[in-house]
Amino acid sequence: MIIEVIVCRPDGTQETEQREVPEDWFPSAPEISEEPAE
Amino acid sequence: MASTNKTANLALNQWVLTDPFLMEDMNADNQKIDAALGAVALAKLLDVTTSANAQQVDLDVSSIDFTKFSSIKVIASIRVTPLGTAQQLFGRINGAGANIREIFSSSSSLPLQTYAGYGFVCSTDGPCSTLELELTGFPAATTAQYLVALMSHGSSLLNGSFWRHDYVGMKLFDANVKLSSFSFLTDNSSVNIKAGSRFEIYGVRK
Repeated sequence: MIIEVIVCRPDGTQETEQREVPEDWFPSAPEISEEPAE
Repeated sequence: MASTNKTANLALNQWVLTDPFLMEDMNADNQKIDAALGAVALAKLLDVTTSANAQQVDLDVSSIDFTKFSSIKVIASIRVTPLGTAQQLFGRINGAGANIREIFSSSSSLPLQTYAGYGFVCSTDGPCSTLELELTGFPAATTAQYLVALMSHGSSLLNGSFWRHDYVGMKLFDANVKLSSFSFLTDNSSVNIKAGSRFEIYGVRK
């Protein structure tokens, strides 16, 4: 799939580019199993 | 003769019209400034607030010499759109191909992950989802292989509660592989990291 990526650099510049990534690029979400912090 | 007046902290020259303007004085001032900046322990290496939405934000750090630092802290203060369709934020090092060894002490196995840390996505709009990555262990460039130790802290307000997730890991680098990028994305390809998200990197000098 094609995704939009913003590339940021130390000099403060940023640019948007399109990038082809594998279908499984976005990680699977670990389960939320613990209690929220107080 | 140097200038009539001096600055308060470094005694840098402050000329008046009748003072001679000498190259030696200017060079001495520059030496003082260089020495003073070099002695500051904490260096801001990157500070960018995004100006557009995107599914992923990359921080290109290929120009930074990390061997000058004993520790690096990356702070991502992230907003997403649309709300309610992504649950997790992820931070990656050198793209998804960089396997991170998870090192929870209670685990007998050491699973490999494609991310260096994760946190939760805030359920309301605002910069209330923060993912911090701390890296230590940068060696001299001549080291054949080295480990970078990772600690991530993900914090957010999720459905009215404060959530925090700490993650410990390590990454094995070859000497010819530089730390070149940090990437941030969610668990949902239809979700954008919203314009106005801020990304900062600080380094503690050796």
